[in-house]
Amino acid sequence: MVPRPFRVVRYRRELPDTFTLTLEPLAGPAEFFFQPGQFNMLYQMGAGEVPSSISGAPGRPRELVHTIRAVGNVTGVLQRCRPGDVIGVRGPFGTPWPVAALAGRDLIILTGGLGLAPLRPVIYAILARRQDYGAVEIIYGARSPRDLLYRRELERWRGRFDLRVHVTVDSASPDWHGNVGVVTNLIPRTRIDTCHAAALICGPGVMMRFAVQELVKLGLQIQDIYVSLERNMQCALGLCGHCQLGPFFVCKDGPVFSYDRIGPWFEKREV
Amino acid sequence: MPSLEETLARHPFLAGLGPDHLQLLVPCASLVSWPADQTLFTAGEEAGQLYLLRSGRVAIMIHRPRRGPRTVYTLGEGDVVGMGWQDLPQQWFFDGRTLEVTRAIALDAACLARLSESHPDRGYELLQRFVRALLGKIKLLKLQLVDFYGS
Repeated sequence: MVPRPFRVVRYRRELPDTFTLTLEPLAGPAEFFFQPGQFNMLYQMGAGEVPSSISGAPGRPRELVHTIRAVGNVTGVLQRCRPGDVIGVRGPFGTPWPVAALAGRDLIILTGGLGLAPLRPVIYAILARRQDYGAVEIIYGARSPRDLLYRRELERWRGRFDLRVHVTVDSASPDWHGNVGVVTNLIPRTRIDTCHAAALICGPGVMMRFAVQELVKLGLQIQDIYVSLERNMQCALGLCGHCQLGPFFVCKDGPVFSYDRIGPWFEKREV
Repeated sequence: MPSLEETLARHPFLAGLGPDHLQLLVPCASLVSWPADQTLFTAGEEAGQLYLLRSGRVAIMIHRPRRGPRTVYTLGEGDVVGMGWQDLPQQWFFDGRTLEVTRAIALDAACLARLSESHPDRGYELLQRFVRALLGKIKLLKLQLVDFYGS
């Protein structure tokens, strides 16, 4: 599968090491359709290719949005991209969040750090059809107030009457008037109907493991808990095996899994 | 307006206690409220009370010489703020400050200690609940040390 050329139309610095690229196709169809939770392989000529979750709105197929943390060579080169530059895109790949299937239910969207990026399309999709869902609560954690991603959007969502947004940081100076403590601390504060709820979780592995424990304690069934995994995805086609986790190829069978399916492998230390 | 005993019964920390047990607690309890941004206690001061938060939020802070204060964690509705009622007198270990208008049940630590002496079975029940709350808090603080978001 050959990368399609996309032009960078917007660059936005989110955090010192995290940025958002808005892309549009240079050739082929003008629209890029995807489902929340899917990812693309972003190719930078001469540097290599990296997987990146799509973080824009599924209802706006004319712009492709990726929020990326610069952690290595390829992402470092991508960080230097500016409007007008061209990069290659392969995708979309992977399984999506079951957004349509969860209509009518209460939802907990629980995320930490950069994990908010793959869940942002879910939030957009839910807000576009808000009447189709029950109570929706977003729980988001970051290391410090300076590390909060999409801060303006969080503030906007928090101002809505049909959404509860809980934000917490691990440590803060006294000028921060929000919550301080780990993100799992906020789970018991939700007001959702646990018999009728589902949870979507994305964030660091340790965070997700403890979040699942708290959600189960609250009364959620593990088949109603979905997680998005991050592994070393290289071919994105389930051929190379780099992202294998037990019997699953995360690029093809995931990255979104229901916890009853992935749980036994998720908690294994040696895979 | 609910009686003090009813208010005690509604707090998660005391939920499920029998009426006779709650009756014993009434002389130790009082209702308190504070405006936002009020210092409740300072590290080193005598910790003569436990607070069962009914609403609002309290920041637990540590003062670092030359680097200023830092919020270690925040507590909210249903949480317990306090050092217990064993080995009195105890001292506050951190500073506590309200982040918003906060309402609580104040429990007098010396009164709880006397109650535990005179009614060991009731004291044991309370102690179990306090230890459970403490263990939950320790678990969360341990997770905080893990630094979830470290790269």
